[in-house]
Amino acid sequence: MALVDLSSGSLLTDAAPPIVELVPETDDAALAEAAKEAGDNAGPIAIQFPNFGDGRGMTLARLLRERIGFKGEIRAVGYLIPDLAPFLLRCGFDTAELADPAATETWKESLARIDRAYQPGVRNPLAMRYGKGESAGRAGDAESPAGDGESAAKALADKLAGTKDIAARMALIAESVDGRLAFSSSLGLEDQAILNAIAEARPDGGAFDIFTLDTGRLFPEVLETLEMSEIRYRLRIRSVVPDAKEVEELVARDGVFGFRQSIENRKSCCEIRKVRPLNKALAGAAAWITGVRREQSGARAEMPLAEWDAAHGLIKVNPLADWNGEELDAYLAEHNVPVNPLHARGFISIGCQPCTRAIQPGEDPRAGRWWWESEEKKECGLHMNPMRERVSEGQAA
Amino acid sequence: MYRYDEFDNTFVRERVAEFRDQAERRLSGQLSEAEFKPLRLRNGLYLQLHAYMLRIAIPYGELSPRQLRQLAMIGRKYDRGYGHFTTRQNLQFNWVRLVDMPDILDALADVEMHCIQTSGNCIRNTTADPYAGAAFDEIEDPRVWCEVIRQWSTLHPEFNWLPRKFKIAISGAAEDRAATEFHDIGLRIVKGPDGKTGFRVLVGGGMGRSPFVGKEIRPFLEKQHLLSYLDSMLRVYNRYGRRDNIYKARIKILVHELGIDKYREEVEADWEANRKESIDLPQAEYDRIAAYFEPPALAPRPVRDEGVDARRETDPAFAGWLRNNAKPHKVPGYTSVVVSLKEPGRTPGDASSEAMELVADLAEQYGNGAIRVNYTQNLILPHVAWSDLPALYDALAAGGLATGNNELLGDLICCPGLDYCNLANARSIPIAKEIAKRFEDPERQAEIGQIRLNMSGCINACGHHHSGNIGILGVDKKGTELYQITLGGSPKDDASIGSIIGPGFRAEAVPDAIDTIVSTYIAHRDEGETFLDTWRRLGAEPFKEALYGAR
Repeated sequence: MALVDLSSGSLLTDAAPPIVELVPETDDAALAEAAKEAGDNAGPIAIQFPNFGDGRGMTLARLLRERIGFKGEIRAVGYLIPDLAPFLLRCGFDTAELADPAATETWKESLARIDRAYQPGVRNPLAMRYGKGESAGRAGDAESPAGDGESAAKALADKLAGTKDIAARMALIAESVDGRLAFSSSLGLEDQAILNAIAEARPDGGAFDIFTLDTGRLFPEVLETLEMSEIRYRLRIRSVVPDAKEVEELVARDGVFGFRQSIENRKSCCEIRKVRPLNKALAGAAAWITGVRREQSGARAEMPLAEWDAAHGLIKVNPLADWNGEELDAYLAEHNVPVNPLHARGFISIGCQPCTRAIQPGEDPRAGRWWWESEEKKECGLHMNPMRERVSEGQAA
Repeated sequence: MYRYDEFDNTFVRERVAEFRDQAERRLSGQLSEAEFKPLRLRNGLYLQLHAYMLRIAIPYGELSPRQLRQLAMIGRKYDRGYGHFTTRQNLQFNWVRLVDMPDILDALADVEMHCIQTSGNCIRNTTADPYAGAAFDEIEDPRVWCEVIRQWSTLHPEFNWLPRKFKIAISGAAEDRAATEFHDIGLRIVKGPDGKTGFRVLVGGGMGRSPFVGKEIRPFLEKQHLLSYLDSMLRVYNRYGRRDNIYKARIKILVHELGIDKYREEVEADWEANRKESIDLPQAEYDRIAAYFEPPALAPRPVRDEGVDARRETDPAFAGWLRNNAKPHKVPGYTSVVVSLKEPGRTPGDASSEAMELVADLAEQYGNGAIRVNYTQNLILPHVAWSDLPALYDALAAGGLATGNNELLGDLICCPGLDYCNLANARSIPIAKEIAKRFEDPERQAEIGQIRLNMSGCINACGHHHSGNIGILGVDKKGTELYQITLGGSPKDDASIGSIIGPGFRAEAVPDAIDTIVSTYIAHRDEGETFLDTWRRLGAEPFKEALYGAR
């Protein structure tokens, strides 16, 4: 027996045995019971497929995710064929048990082959016609099963409020949250402070997954900072890159600087180069750590220390939310944190090279981003809640 | 009509690439036929009696001239120069080779077509009123919702392994021309209490070996909730539909066994809990799709035309064609023309590549570039100016496509039967041809009037025999083909299932039997009565007497 990870197609070796195994006939009450049992024991639920043409397991997985809000592993077992793989994934399964480990490659290919789906799904909370690249974490649901997540986020926020020490906060996060702790770093000042704190709290990185979104249009200085940081902290900072085909199509359509022509163009550029790769990197993570500070812009003024991110199905942690600029500068100086040399040249908030300029003293720190656009709309989409946005669109129309 | 955007195109191309890989694995022997079967079926490829058969989806029966020409090309290059329009608004090629399949799928993708889910236990092509967007009695164009359903149902992760196949039909007109009561789900666009349109939802209709007329699950569903409601209907079926017996696996059996009230209760409970906001289509996406279905700009024209009137006076064949094959249009001075694929002596529904190209040309010349396929196995040019009818008629007649028998006895529906199909128990095409020849005389057909004769070569009822006013079912009785006759079926708003009139007939006796039935009707009918009226008034007795009394 072998176990395939449906999000990557790779073989898993150290799998926990399922807490419960469900037959296709399982009713709603038994389903809720199983979710509770598996949740209490922090183990997988297995769903049986008596043959590959029996789609009842698909419904059971979707109900577990969407109705009951089960967050743990769901495993498909029984008579399965590789062509089921993308369907299993989209219904909320995490893993599939194969009788023949040699078939793993075929499963992997099947997962890679069809990249688009018309329907919303557990990993694709948006209705109709979205590419797989946009699919987010598990159980993306704006309202129902988020209950647990919301209370966990609230509890974490309360804990974090107990100290302003950033390294202590990172230790608290690592202790309180099970699973992968995704840290998306732009190598900006805030993110460098967090990196320093992670290295202090967990010198080997621990469960922190540190990555940067390499959009292909970064300043060379950003990459220099990245290398400097890796050497200093002995931690690998992963590069997460956009889908090459999507970038090719975007540039073919809009041109190499097409994002200057309209906000729509700019947003689709951010979407392809940043938002989708981010969503891919966040899929399956338990928490997402960001360097967002309330001070940075009006839109961020309400940012809590930790909140439930329904769209990605994880806890979004903003450990620097309540820090001001002076505190940050003092921290960086005190710990001799490597910083991007561009800051000294008047670049404060640094994004992609073509969309960032230096700012004058006294200007809003984010005034240098997409400087040709109006003030209120300057978000790349990383810190938006797509569910919220979509629902309100639906109501307006 | 709907046009693919980049998303749809890529989606279909990905599917072709997937099949190319699967076909190569099959041809090289990596895949056994047993393993290949479920994969090819999901791309419409069947293994029939003599060869592979490819079923191409014609979404809700709508074709552009460019698509029809491509189908003609495929027929000529990869088949034997013809295709067969089915009773489900699709097209089948009966002689394709596996090795050519990926190229055929690519050629289809070139014109925004595919074969996805034309077979297998999944949601199939949606049936629609072939006169959609043109019919005089239309409340609302159903094609927008057909396209919405097409997209929603394509590779649906949860509903791709249902207990059995699943077919949805939508009609947006006063008259039901999509047989909604004989589908797994039937949707009728109706006006609600506040004047807004919505759906009357029917479920559990179907033909096959246990025919049922659909039952009403909801008298009125707000349109914006269609997808979430379908989602719940499918989920209840997916969970509770029978999987132990293929003959009892359709939703009609579930609804019949649970009872419509219990089924409704389950669906409504699921729907209550459903995440409607993320399943229902956002208005912006609906609007995007709806924009493709704007009616052509037809300026009203005079409703009489001297040329048409004069021709009608002097040419009885034209007059008959005009009476039967030109249907009323919502814009004055226009008509929807039925292009008959029922010339006596030909296989019903078959069209040669030349015929397809001719229809494509004429659609561009006279029909605003629109072509439809009717489940009665004819083509339709929905938007033709009245004054163009004589010229169109002549052009169609030159290609053998102007038989004026629409909805008359000669317009019979017929499945491929034992000549092609490996499910069939009996031949149907040769019998249909014999019947058509027997009633070839247009005057005889005019005297009989509107009548629906449907014929299937086996119990699976692809030829819709249950819903024929006269139905013929071919069975195999101890190695002999025998034909059972049912009377009184109807696919329309007064949907009903025909009843077996008595012992079956041997093939050569069928035309005589039909003749006897029709003559009995004519002898007994009251002024203005259709066959169905007379049948419903008199019942089986006079027909039984005429057919079997002498024995």
